Amino acid sequence: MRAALAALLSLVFGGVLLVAPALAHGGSLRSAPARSLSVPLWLFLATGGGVVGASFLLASFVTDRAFIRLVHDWRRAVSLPAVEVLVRVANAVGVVGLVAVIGVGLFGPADPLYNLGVLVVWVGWWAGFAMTTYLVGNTWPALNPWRTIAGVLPSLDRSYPERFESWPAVVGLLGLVWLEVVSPLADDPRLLALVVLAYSAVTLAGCVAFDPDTWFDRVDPVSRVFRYYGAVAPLHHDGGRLRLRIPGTGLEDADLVTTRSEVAFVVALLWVTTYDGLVATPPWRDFATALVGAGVPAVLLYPVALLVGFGVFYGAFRLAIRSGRRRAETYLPAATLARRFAPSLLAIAAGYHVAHYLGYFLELSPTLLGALASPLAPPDPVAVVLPPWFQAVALGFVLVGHLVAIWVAHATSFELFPGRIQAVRSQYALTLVMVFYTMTSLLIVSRPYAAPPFV
Amino acid sequence: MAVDGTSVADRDAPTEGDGTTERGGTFDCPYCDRRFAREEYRDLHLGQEHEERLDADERDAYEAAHDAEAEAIRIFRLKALAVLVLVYFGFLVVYAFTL
Repeated sequence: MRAALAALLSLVFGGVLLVAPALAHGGSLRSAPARSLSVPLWLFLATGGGVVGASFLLASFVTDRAFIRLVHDWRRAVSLPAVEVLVRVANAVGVVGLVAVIGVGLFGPADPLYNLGVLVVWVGWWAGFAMTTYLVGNTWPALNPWRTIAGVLPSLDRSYPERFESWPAVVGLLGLVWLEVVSPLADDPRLLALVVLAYSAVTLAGCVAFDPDTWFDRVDPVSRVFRYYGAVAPLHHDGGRLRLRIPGTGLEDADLVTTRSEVAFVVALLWVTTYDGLVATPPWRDFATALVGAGVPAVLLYPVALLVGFGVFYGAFRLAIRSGRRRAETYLPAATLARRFAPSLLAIAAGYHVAHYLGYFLELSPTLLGALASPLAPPDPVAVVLPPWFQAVALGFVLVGHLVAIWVAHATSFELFPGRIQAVRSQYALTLVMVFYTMTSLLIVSRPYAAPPFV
Repeated sequence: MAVDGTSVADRDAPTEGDGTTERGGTFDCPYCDRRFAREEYRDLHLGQEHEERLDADERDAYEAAHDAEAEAIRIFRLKALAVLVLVYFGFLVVYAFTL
């Protein structure tokens, strides 16, 4: 069966090769394909921006409220057999996975491409599983091992200080990405296992102090990432029933983002995917080398860049909301508009995620399967070598994410504003910001890989 | 990091000094707490959200606003189409001379 699968994959992808351990580098374990453009960079970026702008104009032709509502309201019931059993299985898989990541990470092979812990976390979970949360549906609440373990622990039921809103999740997300970028989390199984242990300790302590629902709902950044990704997905829960919807339309719901901290979290999620790619490009390497040469402490470089970039993304979004509010001549507060339009950015974030991780996942999935089949003595890593055109597929996903975002913002504006021209006008600035986000991410995706310096 | 200095509660009330009040007047919806800068926005809102409660005058106002908007949309679509054509042929020409 595996041989047949490998033969099929080799037919499809042009060959299966042994890869050198050098495949694993950087926080995101990316491979380094020879990225080359056959058009000048400025034209490449302008085309990406142009596609987003043109799709805004095309969307503006759809002014039929009944049709927009029809797209949003399209739902189909789905019945899954034995949901209870599936949830139990997912609970067990999550806990066994956590134990395996820590156990094999601490005591298994030291080479990351032979270590099940590294492969499960980066290839299986952060690339593969994360893709299922926005392409299929959010199954993390069932799989989440900490939720399962916290379910059998006592709870002190402290009340969560509401003034913190979800800011701890924003800080947690930025902190995790900073850690991922500056430390060899993808190369050192021992370090990874220790970080997972520390994360488990914090999470379980939080669940005991408050209660698991509050913790995973307000504080835990990972659960929030998957919940937001799940809003893009077609499968969702609606009053205890499993339902199918048109992908992306879940982002139009008013109760997805309810506080300012959640707006910040959405922008942070978009930014960290960009940041993760940005620090692995030659321009960043030159910039960082120049700054450190000028006397800037290398330790400060990454956290400051992380915060500054987040500020720029957040500031651009706020400016777009304020400008849209003026153009639409509305009395709705800017805070309300920010909450309603922020979810459209999640489609963009999901698009970036596929672009960054689909190739990586496909390349390393045979290695992951090998390690899963024999965790303590895995076979030599085998990777799928992707053909050059795969790069274009990845870029295609960046654009698809933006197109969904344009539609979601369009549909949301029609729900908020009574005038149709008014609704279209409210989108001008947000579209410009989306063009800016697109060009930034295309710029990063088109640069060759350069290992982040000073880490 | 950008800090939002305002703490606006989720309500539909004019915020002072943000320019919204200067441009338009205030037209309140009699059935909910939404407020609009233009009479036609209010009329459209009434027709969309409170259709079942409208009296004859409000219904007429809604239809008038709807028709007036249709004309504006026709003009907007022509402009949008012109920009689309410009973008399309602009890129075509740029690609033709670059490749």
